[in-house]
Amino acid sequence: MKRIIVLVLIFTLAAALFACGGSTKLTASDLALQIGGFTATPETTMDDVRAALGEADEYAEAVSCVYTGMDKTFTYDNMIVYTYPDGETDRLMEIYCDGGDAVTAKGITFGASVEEIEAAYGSGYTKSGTLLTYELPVSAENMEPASLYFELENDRVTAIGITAEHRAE
Amino acid sequence: MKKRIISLLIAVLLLLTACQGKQDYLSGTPTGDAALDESVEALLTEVCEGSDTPLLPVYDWLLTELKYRAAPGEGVEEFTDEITISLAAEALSKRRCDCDGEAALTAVLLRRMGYDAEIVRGQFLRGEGGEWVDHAWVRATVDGVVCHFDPLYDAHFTAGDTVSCFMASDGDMAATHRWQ
Repeated sequence: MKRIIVLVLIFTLAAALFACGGSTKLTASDLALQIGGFTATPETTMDDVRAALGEADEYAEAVSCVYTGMDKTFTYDNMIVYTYPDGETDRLMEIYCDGGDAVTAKGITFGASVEEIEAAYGSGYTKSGTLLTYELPVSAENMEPASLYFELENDRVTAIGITAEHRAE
Repeated sequence: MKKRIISLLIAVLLLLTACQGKQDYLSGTPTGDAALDESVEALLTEVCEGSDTPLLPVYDWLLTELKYRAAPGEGVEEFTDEITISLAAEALSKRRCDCDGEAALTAVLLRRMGYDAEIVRGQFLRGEGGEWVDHAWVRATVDGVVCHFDPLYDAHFTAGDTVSCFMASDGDMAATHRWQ
């Protein structure tokens, strides 16, 4: 009887370890991106960006095809910030960096390999096109998830982006 | 001699079979941009392989894989071949685009599949009694019938798992879209 209990325990522990293997539970702070001394996370607001980096070099707006109101893009040196309208508020949708000193919370920067990304963030990513993406769970069904993504060329990071959780429509 | 003829016949049969497989969804014209054409062929092969109705999985791929993101800067004035290729390549590689990028990629995929496809500039109605919003989508000729494809609209405005802008007729499309 004792032997059976030990075997069951070992099997359960092994199954649990196998299920967890290779993937790391990510939090919003894991998805942080440091750019020029400013740390952006999926919870960053456009006001935070302005306070840290000032006004954008270029600004564009257009009536959104998806949301009611204007989509806005703020272009900084090596960085583009995308917002979407939510009533009277412009909510951050995405920050995209393709140059400069951007580095993630876990030390991934331009030129990093897929192996280095996996070592830092685990294998719980999706790969589509040139993107390798880590997503947080969504808080509601009609939301797009907060995420950290790496744009790759020849398996090396050429751009890094974070997206905030945002309405799908 | 008999053996040679049989071998030749087998070779011809194999060649015909290989060509038949390709004709299903790669019978159209490539864009001429080598990198984009390679990616498009890989995507169509992956998505359409084994499907009797390849348009459906391609539309489903566009619906689910592309995320909406506004384009920085001015919108597209005219969809020249160069602009269409550039927008389609970016959408396919980054999986993020606005309606211009989604329409460009849809047109490139449909043309590669052998259909006449053009990008339509028009407007769609956002919600009942809502505003008309500038938009772009694709009109194509499938089996001699002119129909519309607007995966971005279906992804964001059509309820549930249904689609309303897949091979939609002019009449059906006019309920929510208007164009010249």
